[in-house]
Amino acid sequence: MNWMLRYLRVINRAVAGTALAVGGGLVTTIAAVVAAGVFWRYVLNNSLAWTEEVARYLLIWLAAVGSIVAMHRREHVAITILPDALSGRAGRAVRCAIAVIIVVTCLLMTYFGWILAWNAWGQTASSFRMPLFFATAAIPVATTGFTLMAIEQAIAAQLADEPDIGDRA
Amino acid sequence: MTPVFALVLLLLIALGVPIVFALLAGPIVGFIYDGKDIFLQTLPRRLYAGMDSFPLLAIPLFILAGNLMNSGGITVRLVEFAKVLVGHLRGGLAQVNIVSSVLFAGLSGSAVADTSALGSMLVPAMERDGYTRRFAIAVTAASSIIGPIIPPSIIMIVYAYVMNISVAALFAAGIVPGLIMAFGLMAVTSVLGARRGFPKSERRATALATAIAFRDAFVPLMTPVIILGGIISGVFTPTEAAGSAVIYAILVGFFYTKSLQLEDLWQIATRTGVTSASILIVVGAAAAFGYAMTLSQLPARVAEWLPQVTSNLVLVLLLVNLLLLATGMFLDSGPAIIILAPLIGPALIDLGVDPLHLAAIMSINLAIGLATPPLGLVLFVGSSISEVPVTTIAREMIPYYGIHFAVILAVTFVPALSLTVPRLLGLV
Repeated sequence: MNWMLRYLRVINRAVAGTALAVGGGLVTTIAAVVAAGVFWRYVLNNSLAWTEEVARYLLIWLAAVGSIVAMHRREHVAITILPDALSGRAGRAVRCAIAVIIVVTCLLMTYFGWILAWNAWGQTASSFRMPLFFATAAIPVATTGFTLMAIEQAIAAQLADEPDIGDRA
Repeated sequence: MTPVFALVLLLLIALGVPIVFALLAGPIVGFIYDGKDIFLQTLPRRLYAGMDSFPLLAIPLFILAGNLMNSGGITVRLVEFAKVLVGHLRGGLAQVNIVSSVLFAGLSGSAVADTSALGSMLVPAMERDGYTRRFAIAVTAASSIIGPIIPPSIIMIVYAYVMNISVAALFAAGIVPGLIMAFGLMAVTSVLGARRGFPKSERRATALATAIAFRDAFVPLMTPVIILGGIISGVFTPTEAAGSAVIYAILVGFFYTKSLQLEDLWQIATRTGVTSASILIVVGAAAAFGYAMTLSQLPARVAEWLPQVTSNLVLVLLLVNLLLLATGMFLDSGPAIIILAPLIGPALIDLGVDPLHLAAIMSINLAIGLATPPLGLVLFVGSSISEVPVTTIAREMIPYYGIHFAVILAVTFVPALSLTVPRLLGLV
């Protein structure tokens, strides 16, 4: 299992690093798009039709990639009284169970998420020509990312390995 | 549908599963248990649709604006301004801390941001002035919850979205309770100051010093005016106001205070991305959970059951507050609102509670939960800044908790405190 953990760590660090960079880009773009909407509407008196819709799709992608990073840093809000109180084997078992529950949940969400995304190929955004696939795909992408991180956390809990909290500031 | 999905949620949260996954796993198990596998495929769509919202864009934008202002040296100027206002009182810097929280609350919507921005600046200053470190961080934490009560407020944006009420009205409802909270905390501080002999500066700031501090703080202090004025007058939607606040913060940081560096921007953007994503994904997962809740008709059952227990509104509201406080001790305010508001809201509105009044009660109560042990987020941030253990901070905060609870009770039983401003402004 050790070799698998090593590989997963390399992959997950790369995934989280990419997601962090994409997230920073999305925040910047969202601010620019919303500001452009305000500027055109109030200063130029000529509303842009697409800003609101584009900003919403970018927001969904931001939620997806940003929470992949949060997953890598183990920053998603949880009540960790029980796993913190237990030490040794019991603690490892609980931590591992939590990670396995996340893996199963996210695998199901990924499967149905891809169906959702594929079904959206035929639909297009209302203010510009883009298949909605490119918006809905954010959901299975996010849950795939969560799955990868959770598998790593399950193995790490089994091996009683130090958690890899990555590039947490 | 049976309430299995809700039991699974509680069980998984207690086990230590992150809230976002517990909110998804609950309905999954519930659907399978009830033989309704066909509904499983709706969950990703609910998760998507739950985040596909223009009002929710205000969350990353307000967080971004707050981070930009903090790096842009605006916090420093607000603190300087607070110093000339109240620095001459006994316990000067403790009072400055509280007034700074009020000023900061008009720029930021989160108690955590308030604690980390003001704590890292004021705790060392207060220590140099002779306060104990644990008192310094306690007063920072106690006053930081004014942040999400005085608008803008992330908690209120989430509540307004989940319960479909006006953000502008809810923002307006928070102004008076936030100010009352500030005065209460200041009163407690001056009593403590007299008893413990807190330092007192020799004389009041001169008129000239006051004028200079006001001039320096004037441009940053225009931010709440833009945000609130724009939203309340109906010119801006909250999202547009947040976007304008971002542009304003960038302009002020680069051209007025000149403290914002180009190389800071990327770090600010990535930090904002992760913070806001972890809030948004919970909102989305809650929409998936909410779908199971609708199918189960659990809220309707609560609405049927509650009047049978008691129809005494005073008692009901007391019980609701106890439930909220207990929840707030363990859950972050966002998830707590998302789970509880749709469940108990309809029953309370049926009993005659004004929807906006209920919104104010829940938002303020859960904001206070951010500073209560064992799992108050603000306590943990304060502890990591000051290296004072969470339990020590909480013990030091006991006199301030009295004010927190008094404000909850006042807001609950005097609806005029929260409803007058929105009514005067014609928002309800």
